[in-house]
Amino acid sequence: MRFKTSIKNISVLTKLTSCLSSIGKLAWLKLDEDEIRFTLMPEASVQVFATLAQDTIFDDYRIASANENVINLEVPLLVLLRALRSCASASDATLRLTKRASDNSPILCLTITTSSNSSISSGSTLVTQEIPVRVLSGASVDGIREPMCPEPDVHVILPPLAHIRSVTERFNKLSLGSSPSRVSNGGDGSRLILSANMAGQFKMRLVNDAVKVESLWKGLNNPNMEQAPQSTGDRPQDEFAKVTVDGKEWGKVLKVGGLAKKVIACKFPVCARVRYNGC
Amino acid sequence: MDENNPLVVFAAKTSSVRQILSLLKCIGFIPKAQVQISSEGVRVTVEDSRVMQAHAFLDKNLFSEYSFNSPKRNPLLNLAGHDAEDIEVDDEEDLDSTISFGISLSALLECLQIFGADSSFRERERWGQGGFSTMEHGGIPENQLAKPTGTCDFIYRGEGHTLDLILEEHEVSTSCQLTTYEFEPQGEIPLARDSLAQKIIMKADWLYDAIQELDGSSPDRLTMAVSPRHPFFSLSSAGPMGSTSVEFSNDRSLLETFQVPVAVQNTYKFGLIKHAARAMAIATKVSIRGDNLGVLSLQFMIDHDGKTSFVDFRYMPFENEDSDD
Repeated sequence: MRFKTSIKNISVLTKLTSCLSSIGKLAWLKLDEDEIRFTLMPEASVQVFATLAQDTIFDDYRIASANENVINLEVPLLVLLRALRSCASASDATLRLTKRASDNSPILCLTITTSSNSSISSGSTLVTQEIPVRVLSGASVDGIREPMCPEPDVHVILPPLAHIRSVTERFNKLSLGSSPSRVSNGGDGSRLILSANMAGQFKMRLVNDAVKVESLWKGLNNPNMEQAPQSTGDRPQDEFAKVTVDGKEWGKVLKVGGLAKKVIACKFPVCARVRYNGC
Repeated sequence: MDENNPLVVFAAKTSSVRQILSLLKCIGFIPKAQVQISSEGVRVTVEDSRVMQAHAFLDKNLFSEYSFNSPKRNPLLNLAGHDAEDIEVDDEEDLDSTISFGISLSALLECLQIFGADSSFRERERWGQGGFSTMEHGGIPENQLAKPTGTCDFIYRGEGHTLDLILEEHEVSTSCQLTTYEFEPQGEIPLARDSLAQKIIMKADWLYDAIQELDGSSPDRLTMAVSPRHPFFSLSSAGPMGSTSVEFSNDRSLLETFQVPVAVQNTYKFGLIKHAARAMAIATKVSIRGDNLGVLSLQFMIDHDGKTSFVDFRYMPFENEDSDD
C-alpha cells in the first residue's frame, strides 16, 4: 500500500478540512487514482460527502494498493487541520502514508519545506508532522454509501451563506431565550422550518410561544440540474417544499460553506440535501 | 373577540431601526416588557423587583409613517366589534387614548437584530475582502450597500392579536409575529416633580465613568449624596472589597445644572443602578432628579442623527437610610 503526493493547493485543503472539522472529529478518507473523498458520519443528523478530483489539490500523485489502488483511511480532522495550518507559508509540502518507526502504527506524514531568504540565514527548514490514521479495509466501508435521494422537488441556489447563518443564529437565540424549559426538557428547542420553491424563493421559519418569525429571500436562482431536468411536472412553480431541521445542526452545516461559491439546496419529500459546488 | 378585525389599531414604518434598537437595548435587561401605544409614540416599560422601572419612549418622529386609531376612541368600532366588557375597562382606565399590552422584549430585540444581520455581514465582508470589493452581492451595486436601505413596519391589530414586524431589505423580508400578553399595570413609581430635592444635569459619560469606578469593588449599595456645599455631589459605595467614593465639584463645565436646596442622602441598590449602564454609555446627557421621598429619576437624552430620544429610569430608595427620618 503506497501513497505519496505533493500538495499544490494547500489553502483549499486547509479550508476544506477546517469546514469539515466543524461537523465531526473523524472522517473517512477514500483515495483512489482519480478522486479523493471525505465522508463524515458523526452521531448527529448531518452527514457530509466531499469529493474532489485529486489534481485540484495534489500534484505528482502516486497511489498503489492491493485493493484496486484504493486506500481507505480514518483521519482525525483536528490533527490534520493543525498539521496543514503549519504549512501556510510552506514552499513545498508532501503527504505520504507510512508507518511510525517506534510502534509500526500507520501515519500520514506531512513534510513541509519552508525556504527562508532572510539575511541571517538562507536555506530551508524541514518540518515533519505525523497524523495517526487507521487503515480501513474495503469491506468495512463498503456499507457506507451516499444516500440515494429521489428526484428533488425543488432546488435553489441559497443566498450568501454568512447571511443565512447570522439570521439562523438569531433564530436559535430566539428559541433559547423564550422557551428555556423546552430546551432543558427535550433539547429540541430550536426547530427551524426551511422551505423553498422553484420561483426563486427560500424561507426560514421559527415558531415558539413568544414569537413566530419568518425570513423570506426572493430573487434566487433555480439552477438547471443535470439529474433533474426542469420537468417539475405538475408541481406549481411557486409551491413551497419544506423540511424541518435542528437549528444548531443547520448552523453547523452553514459553516461548511466557507469554501463554497455556490450552494444548492434540494428538497425532497423525505430528506434535504445541501450541495456545495466550486472551490 | 373578533379574530378577523380588519381595522389596524397601530401601524408605523421606519427606516431607522438602529435607533429604535439601541433605545430598546437600554432597557433590555428584563426579558418581558409592557408596551403602551398612543398617538404620540410607543412607550416600553420594564420593571425589576418592584423598586425600579425603566421606560424607553419611541417618539413618533422616529417613524416615517405613524398611524394610531385608538379602538376606544372610535365609537363605531365599539359598536361593531367590542363587547360590553371592553367598554367597562375603558371607563375604569383614564388612559382612553392608549392601548397597552405585554410583550417579550428579548424576542423583540432579537427580531430587530435579524434586520441588522444582513448589513453587518456585508460590512464585515467588505472590510474582510479588502481589494475585492467588486465582488457581487447578488447583483446589488456597491454604492447601495454602503447604507442600509431597509425598512421596518410595525402593525398591531388590537387586543388578542400579535404585534407584527415586517423587516424588508433588498431581496430579504422577515416577518415576526410577537405574541402579546395581557397588560400588567405596574403603578408607576411616582416622582414628585413639585418637591424636587435635587436636579443635576451632566454628561452621561461622566456618570458612566463614576459608576464603572464604583463597580470595581462589586458593591451592593450605592449612596448618592447631594449638598449645596462641598462635596456637592458624591456617589459612594461600600462592598466586601472596600469602599469607593466619587465626588463631583459644582463646576459649570462639569455639572450643567445643579439645583440642590438642602443636603440629601439616599441609598439605592447598586445592581439596579447598573441596569442603566448601557443608557449611560450611549446617551449625551443625563438629568438626575430626586424628590423629597428619595425617589430617583435618571433621564437620559440620546441623540441619533439629530433626533433626540429619552430613556427614563426610576428608583425607590432603601427605606432605612432615608435621610428624611
